[in-house]
Amino acid sequence: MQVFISDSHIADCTVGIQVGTNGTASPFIALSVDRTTVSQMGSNGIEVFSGKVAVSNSVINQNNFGAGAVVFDSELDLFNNQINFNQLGVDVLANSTVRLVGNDFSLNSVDIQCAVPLVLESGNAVEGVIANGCVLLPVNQTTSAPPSGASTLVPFYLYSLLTLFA
Amino acid sequence: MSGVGDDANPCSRTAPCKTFAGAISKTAVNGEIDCLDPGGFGALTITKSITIDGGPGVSSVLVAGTNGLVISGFNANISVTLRNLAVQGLGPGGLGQGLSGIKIINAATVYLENVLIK
Repeated sequence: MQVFISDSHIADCTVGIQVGTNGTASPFIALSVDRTTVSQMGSNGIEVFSGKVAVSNSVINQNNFGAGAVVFDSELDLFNNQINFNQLGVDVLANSTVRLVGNDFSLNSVDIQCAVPLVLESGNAVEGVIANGCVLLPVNQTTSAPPSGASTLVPFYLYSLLTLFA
Repeated sequence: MSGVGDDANPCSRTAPCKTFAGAISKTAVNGEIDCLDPGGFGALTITKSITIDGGPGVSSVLVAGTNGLVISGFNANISVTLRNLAVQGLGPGGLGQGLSGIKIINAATVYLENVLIK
Protein backbone atom coordinates (compact mmCIF):
# COMPACT_ATOMS: atom_id res chain seq x y z
CA MET A 1 0.00 0.00 0.00
CA GLN A 2 1.25 3.46 -0.88
CA VAL A 3 -0.12 6.62 0.70
CA PHE A 4 0.77 10.13 -0.43
CA ILE A 5 -0.13 13.16 1.67
CA SER A 6 0.65 16.65 0.42
CA ASP A 7 -0.31 20.23 1.21
CA SER A 8 -2.38 19.11 4.16
CA HIS A 9 -2.92 20.05 7.79
CA ILE A 10 -3.45 17.48 10.51
CA ALA A 11 -4.09 18.78 14.00
CA ASP A 12 -5.79 18.15 17.31
CA CYS A 13 -6.15 14.39 16.92
CA THR A 14 -4.89 11.68 19.25
CA VAL A 15 -2.32 10.51 16.67
CA GLY A 16 -1.79 12.45 13.48
CA ILE A 17 -0.62 9.73 11.12
CA GLN A 18 -0.37 6.10 12.17
CA VAL A 19 1.22 3.53 9.90
CA GLY A 20 0.72 -0.04 11.05
CA THR A 21 -0.11 -1.15 14.56
CA ASN A 22 2.38 -1.90 17.27
CA GLY A 23 2.70 -5.63 17.83
CA THR A 24 0.49 -6.56 14.90
CA ALA A 25 1.74 -7.72 11.51
CA SER A 26 0.66 -5.22 8.92
CA PRO A 27 0.85 -5.18 5.13
CA PHE A 28 3.80 -3.36 3.63
CA ILE A 29 3.09 0.33 3.77
CA ALA A 30 4.96 3.19 2.17
CA LEU A 31 3.95 6.70 3.17
CA SER A 32 5.07 9.99 1.68
CA VAL A 33 4.28 13.25 3.46
CA ASP A 34 5.17 16.54 1.82
CA ARG A 35 4.35 20.15 2.64
CA THR A 36 2.13 19.12 5.53
CA THR A 37 1.67 20.27 9.10
CA VAL A 38 1.24 17.73 11.89
CA SER A 39 0.62 19.55 15.12
CA GLN A 40 -1.04 19.61 18.50
CA MET A 41 -1.74 15.89 18.88
CA GLY A 42 -2.88 14.33 22.11
CA SER A 43 -0.13 11.75 21.66
CA ASN A 44 2.38 11.36 18.82
CA GLY A 45 2.42 13.24 15.55
CA ILE A 46 3.53 10.37 13.34
CA GLU A 47 3.70 6.73 14.43
CA VAL A 48 5.26 4.16 12.12
CA PHE A 49 5.22 0.45 12.83
CA SER A 50 6.58 -1.83 10.12
CA GLY A 51 6.58 0.66 7.28
CA LYS A 52 8.63 3.05 5.19
CA VAL A 53 7.91 6.72 5.59
CA ALA A 54 9.38 9.84 4.01
CA VAL A 55 8.47 13.24 5.40
CA SER A 56 9.69 16.34 3.58
CA ASN A 57 9.16 20.08 3.66
CA SER A 58 6.76 19.71 6.56
CA VAL A 59 6.20 21.06 10.04
CA ILE A 60 5.85 18.70 12.98
CA ASN A 61 5.24 20.75 16.05
CA GLN A 62 3.43 21.30 19.32
CA ASN A 63 2.90 17.63 20.02
CA ASN A 64 3.24 18.38 23.69
CA PHE A 65 2.25 14.99 25.05
CA GLY A 66 4.29 12.73 22.81
CA ALA A 67 6.83 12.65 20.04
CA GLY A 68 6.79 14.37 16.73
CA ALA A 69 7.65 11.05 15.11
CA VAL A 70 8.01 7.54 16.54
CA VAL A 71 9.34 4.62 14.51
CA PHE A 72 9.49 0.92 15.34
CA ASP A 73 10.70 -1.77 12.96
CA SER A 74 10.58 0.81 10.20
CA GLU A 75 12.47 3.23 8.01
CA LEU A 76 11.92 6.96 8.33
CA ASP A 77 13.38 9.64 6.09
CA LEU A 78 13.11 13.21 7.30
CA PHE A 79 14.13 15.83 4.77
CA ASN A 80 13.97 19.57 5.23
CA ASN A 81 11.38 19.62 8.01
CA GLN A 82 10.82 21.83 11.00
CA ILE A 83 10.47 19.65 14.09
CA ASN A 84 9.93 21.83 17.10
CA PHE A 85 7.93 22.47 20.24
CA ASN A 86 7.37 18.74 20.76
CA GLN A 87 7.79 16.83 23.98
CA LEU A 88 10.17 14.62 22.01
CA GLY A 89 11.24 15.37 18.48
CA VAL A 90 12.02 11.94 17.05
CA ASP A 91 11.89 8.69 19.00
CA VAL A 92 13.69 5.82 17.30
CA LEU A 93 12.73 2.45 18.73
CA ALA A 94 13.99 -1.03 17.91
CA ASN A 95 14.82 -2.32 14.43
CA SER A 96 14.51 1.06 12.83
CA THR A 97 16.55 3.32 10.60
CA VAL A 98 16.15 7.05 10.45
CA ARG A 99 17.77 9.27 7.85
CA LEU A 100 17.92 12.96 8.62
CA VAL A 101 18.76 15.56 6.03
CA GLY A 102 18.48 19.29 6.51
CA ASN A 103 15.95 19.36 9.33
CA ASP A 104 15.54 22.03 11.95
CA PHE A 105 15.21 20.63 15.45
CA SER A 106 14.57 23.27 18.01
CA LEU A 107 12.64 23.94 21.18
CA ASN A 108 11.75 20.30 21.79
CA SER A 109 12.15 19.02 25.33
CA VAL A 110 14.31 16.29 23.79
CA ASP A 111 15.19 16.55 20.12
CA ILE A 112 16.19 12.99 19.29
CA GLN A 113 16.01 9.85 21.37
CA CYS A 114 16.97 6.49 19.99
CA ALA A 115 17.56 2.87 20.72
CA VAL A 116 19.62 2.51 17.53
CA PRO A 117 22.16 4.76 15.80
CA LEU A 118 20.87 7.57 13.67
CA VAL A 119 22.35 8.18 10.25
CA LEU A 120 22.95 11.84 9.60
CA GLU A 121 23.54 12.35 5.91
CA SER A 122 24.06 16.10 5.95
CA GLY A 123 23.71 19.08 8.22
CA ASN A 124 20.89 19.19 10.67
CA ALA A 125 20.29 21.99 13.08
CA VAL A 126 19.95 20.23 16.40
CA GLU A 127 20.32 22.77 19.10
CA GLY A 128 18.73 20.87 21.95
CA VAL A 129 19.09 17.51 23.59
CA ILE A 130 20.24 14.24 22.04
CA ALA A 131 19.32 11.47 24.44
CA ASN A 132 19.90 7.81 25.06
CA GLY A 133 22.83 6.87 22.91
CA CYS A 134 22.08 8.43 19.55
CA VAL A 135 25.06 8.74 17.29
CA LEU A 136 24.87 11.11 14.38
CA LEU A 137 27.10 10.07 11.50
CA PRO A 138 28.11 11.99 8.39
CA VAL A 139 27.37 11.07 4.83
CA ASN A 140 27.94 7.49 3.71
CA GLN A 141 29.19 6.29 7.06
CA THR A 142 27.89 2.92 8.08
CA THR A 143 26.12 2.68 11.34
CA SER A 144 27.63 1.00 14.34
CA ALA A 145 26.44 0.23 17.80
CA PRO A 146 26.07 3.34 19.88
CA PRO A 147 28.25 3.71 22.95
CA SER A 148 26.64 2.84 26.21
CA GLY A 149 25.89 5.48 28.74
CA ALA A 150 25.50 9.11 27.89
CA SER A 151 24.49 10.33 24.52
CA THR A 152 27.02 11.28 21.88
CA LEU A 153 26.79 13.84 19.14
CA VAL A 154 29.68 13.82 16.71
CA PRO A 155 29.74 16.90 14.52
CA PHE A 156 30.66 16.37 10.93
CA TYR A 157 33.95 18.26 11.08
CA LEU A 158 35.04 16.44 14.23
CA TYR A 159 34.13 13.09 12.79
CA SER A 160 36.10 13.92 9.66
CA LEU A 161 39.12 14.81 11.74
CA LEU A 162 38.82 11.61 13.71
CA THR A 163 38.54 9.63 10.51
CA LEU A 164 41.53 11.44 9.04
CA PHE A 165 43.76 10.61 11.98
CA ALA A 166 42.45 7.13 12.54
CA MET B 1 -22.43 17.44 -4.44
CA SER B 2 -24.02 20.47 -2.87
CA GLY B 3 -24.85 21.61 0.62
CA VAL B 4 -28.39 22.10 -0.63
CA GLY B 5 -28.50 18.93 -2.71
CA ASP B 6 -30.64 15.84 -2.27
CA ASP B 7 -29.57 12.21 -2.35
CA ALA B 8 -32.69 11.43 -4.34
CA ASN B 9 -31.14 13.42 -7.19
CA PRO B 10 -28.99 11.81 -9.89
CA CYS B 11 -25.92 13.70 -8.61
CA SER B 12 -25.61 15.76 -11.78
CA ARG B 13 -24.43 19.34 -12.18
CA THR B 14 -28.00 20.65 -12.08
CA ALA B 15 -29.36 18.10 -9.59
CA PRO B 16 -26.57 17.42 -7.08
CA CYS B 17 -26.56 15.01 -4.18
CA LYS B 18 -26.40 15.91 -0.51
CA THR B 19 -24.00 13.38 1.02
CA PHE B 20 -20.90 11.48 -0.02
CA ALA B 21 -22.66 8.24 0.84
CA GLY B 22 -25.49 9.14 -1.48
CA ALA B 23 -23.16 10.16 -4.28
CA ILE B 24 -20.70 7.30 -4.26
CA SER B 25 -23.30 4.69 -5.13
CA LYS B 26 -24.09 6.71 -8.27
CA THR B 27 -20.47 7.18 -9.25
CA ALA B 28 -18.68 4.71 -11.47
CA VAL B 29 -15.41 3.02 -10.60
CA ASN B 30 -12.52 5.45 -11.29
CA GLY B 31 -15.06 8.30 -11.35
CA GLU B 32 -14.97 11.60 -9.51
CA ILE B 33 -17.23 13.29 -6.99
CA ASP B 34 -16.97 17.09 -7.05
CA CYS B 35 -18.42 19.51 -4.54
CA LEU B 36 -20.09 22.57 -6.03
CA ASP B 37 -20.34 24.60 -2.84
CA PRO B 38 -19.54 24.41 0.88
CA GLY B 39 -21.26 21.87 3.09
CA GLY B 40 -20.97 19.01 5.50
CA PHE B 41 -21.28 15.86 3.45
CA GLY B 42 -21.03 13.18 6.11
CA ALA B 43 -18.88 10.16 6.79
CA LEU B 44 -18.13 7.65 4.07
CA THR B 45 -16.71 4.19 3.49
CA ILE B 46 -14.92 3.92 0.15
CA THR B 47 -14.65 0.49 -1.42
CA LYS B 48 -13.69 1.31 -5.02
CA SER B 49 -11.29 3.47 -6.97
CA ILE B 50 -12.55 7.04 -6.90
CA THR B 51 -11.60 10.71 -6.60
CA ILE B 52 -13.38 13.07 -4.24
CA ASP B 53 -12.65 16.75 -4.79
CA GLY B 54 -14.04 19.25 -2.32
CA GLY B 55 -13.54 22.05 -4.81
CA PRO B 56 -12.82 25.65 -3.94
CA GLY B 57 -15.25 25.91 -1.02
CA VAL B 58 -15.14 24.34 2.42
CA SER B 59 -16.23 20.78 1.86
CA SER B 60 -16.34 19.05 5.18
CA VAL B 61 -16.83 15.71 6.84
CA LEU B 62 -17.96 16.51 10.36
CA VAL B 63 -18.14 13.48 12.65
CA ALA B 64 -18.43 12.67 16.34
CA GLY B 65 -17.77 9.25 17.81
CA THR B 66 -16.99 7.60 14.49
CA ASN B 67 -14.47 7.57 11.68
CA GLY B 68 -14.57 10.26 9.04
CA LEU B 69 -13.56 8.54 5.82
CA VAL B 70 -12.77 4.84 5.70
CA ILE B 71 -10.98 3.36 2.69
CA SER B 72 -11.55 -0.36 2.55
CA GLY B 73 -11.30 -1.86 -0.91
CA PHE B 74 -12.64 -5.32 -1.54
CA ASN B 75 -9.20 -5.99 -2.96
CA ALA B 76 -5.88 -4.23 -2.65
CA ASN B 77 -5.96 -2.75 -6.13
CA ILE B 78 -8.06 0.34 -5.65
CA SER B 79 -6.72 3.88 -5.96
CA VAL B 80 -8.34 6.71 -4.03
CA THR B 81 -7.69 10.45 -4.24
CA LEU B 82 -9.11 12.83 -1.64
CA ARG B 83 -8.57 16.47 -2.45
CA ASN B 84 -9.62 19.80 -0.90
CA LEU B 85 -11.48 18.32 2.05
CA ALA B 86 -11.82 19.05 5.76
CA VAL B 87 -12.41 16.16 8.16
CA GLN B 88 -13.26 17.53 11.58
CA GLY B 89 -14.59 16.51 14.95
CA LEU B 90 -11.92 14.03 15.95
CA GLY B 91 -10.65 15.40 19.26
CA PRO B 92 -9.06 15.48 21.76
CA GLY B 93 -8.66 19.14 21.01
CA GLY B 94 -11.11 19.09 18.13
CA LEU B 95 -14.81 19.63 18.06
CA GLY B 96 -15.72 16.15 19.23
CA GLN B 97 -14.41 12.69 19.95
CA GLY B 98 -14.32 10.90 16.66
CA LEU B 99 -11.99 8.01 15.95
CA SER B 100 -9.84 8.26 12.82
CA GLY B 101 -10.08 11.11 10.40
CA ILE B 102 -9.13 8.96 7.45
CA LYS B 103 -8.74 5.25 8.11
CA ILE B 104 -7.05 3.25 5.36
CA ILE B 105 -7.66 -0.46 5.65
CA ASN B 106 -7.06 -1.75 2.15
CA ALA B 107 -5.93 0.03 -1.01
CA ALA B 108 -3.10 0.12 -3.52
CA THR B 109 -2.57 3.87 -3.52
CA VAL B 110 -4.17 6.69 -1.60
CA TYR B 111 -3.54 10.38 -2.32
CA LEU B 112 -4.47 13.08 0.17
CA GLU B 113 -4.05 16.56 -1.26
CA ASN B 114 -4.94 19.73 0.60
CA VAL B 115 -6.79 17.87 3.32
CA LEU B 116 -7.48 19.20 6.80
CA ILE B 117 -7.84 16.55 9.50
CA LYS B 118 -8.73 17.96 12.86
